[in-house]
Amino acid sequence: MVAIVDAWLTPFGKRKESLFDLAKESSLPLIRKFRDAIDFVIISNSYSGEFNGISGVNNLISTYLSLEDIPSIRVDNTSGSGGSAVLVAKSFLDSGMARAVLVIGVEKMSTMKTRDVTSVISSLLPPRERSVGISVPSLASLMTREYLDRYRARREAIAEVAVKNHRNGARNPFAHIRKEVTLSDVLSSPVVADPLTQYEFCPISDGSASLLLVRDEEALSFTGKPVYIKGMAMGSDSSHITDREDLLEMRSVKRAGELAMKFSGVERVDFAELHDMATILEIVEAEALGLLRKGEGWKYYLEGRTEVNGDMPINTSGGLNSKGHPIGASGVAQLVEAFHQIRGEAGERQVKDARTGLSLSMAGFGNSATVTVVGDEP
Amino acid sequence: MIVYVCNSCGKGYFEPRGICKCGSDSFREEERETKRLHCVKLLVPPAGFPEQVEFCLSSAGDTRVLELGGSRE
Repeated sequence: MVAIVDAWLTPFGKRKESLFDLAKESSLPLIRKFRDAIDFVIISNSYSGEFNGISGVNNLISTYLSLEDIPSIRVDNTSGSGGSAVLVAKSFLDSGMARAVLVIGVEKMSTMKTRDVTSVISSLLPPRERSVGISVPSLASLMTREYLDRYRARREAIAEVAVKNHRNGARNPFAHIRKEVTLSDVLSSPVVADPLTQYEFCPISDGSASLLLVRDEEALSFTGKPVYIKGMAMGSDSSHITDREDLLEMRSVKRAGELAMKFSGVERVDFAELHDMATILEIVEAEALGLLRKGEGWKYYLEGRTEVNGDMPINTSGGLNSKGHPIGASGVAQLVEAFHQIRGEAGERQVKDARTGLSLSMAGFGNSATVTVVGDEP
Repeated sequence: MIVYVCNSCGKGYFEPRGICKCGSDSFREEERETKRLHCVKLLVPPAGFPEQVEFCLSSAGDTRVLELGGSRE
């Protein structure tokens, strides 16, 4: 088994610092404490070539951090890079290939205008589907229409996801958007892809997050409060949206969740960090993971049950929706939040008696998904 | 609407594949009528597209396809 023994992140947002300095900012506290123990570095990053004109980013970052004597690799799985990077780190530790792995997730996206960023990210779609002009956000709108129709859900319930996540983000000093919004603000903000509006999508953010992972039997020599990875699994689905028989099924998420929960031995987690690139995704993912009842997830938002003090707190960090979504950093940052929640260090966002949690790092539109279940005991 | 149909098992695809799920790598093109399921107006489309794009998820027989929205006239 593997444990997270330290974690840090940068404030997300439009940052003036370079990709390298963002990576430094999140990893420096870990390197200062554990430089001599680290024997592998994994960089979670997806678009350094497109956004920053940089290739070989793992070696460049490692050298910038004076870690050039330590082997490094880059893991790119688009928006799911962070979860994939942690899965690789866990595999290295489980196999004995490494004893202490530093995972740094980093992305600098604000170098481009919104439509250019959309174009870069939409390049994960296959050519014929892409030729129609679709983007990843617009697929979320398609999903919303199907969800509203099939379950007779109320439109405002979808928007309540953004209200809740902005409320949490306002209490997170590392969040990109630190202001609360009302239901009226969300519904009246500019439409991006009908019916979803600006506040219902994640912003374009720069940022970085870092984790140090070790084998569980060594964890207590690094910290008195390790957070254990109790179960972890990956699921996959077609990257062709037209091949999906049911847009609301999210097979990759369901499969990864079922396996991760089975491996963990945990029946029910105390909180979850999900991939809310768009509001509707949080609901559909929560249903696929069995956190909320299928077809009724929207009702939980009208009843406040996914709030920090609800019976199923979701995205206490503010989620991608408010905290921001620097692609390569997001999945790593979700586990930073889980690390702080389990250790009781989440401040105003602390979930009472949080002992187990789940994070979902998702690539594309559910093309692949990595679910990690963490807890305070091995 | 052109759909790519496997010559072995008959499964249709909107997006071309090199190998069918049945293992065959032989496909034919088939022209099919479409029926719209859901349409979305995208007001912030990727660079290189018009400022507003409407597209629809439609069915072409048993195959789901994407097509431009708006009037069919």
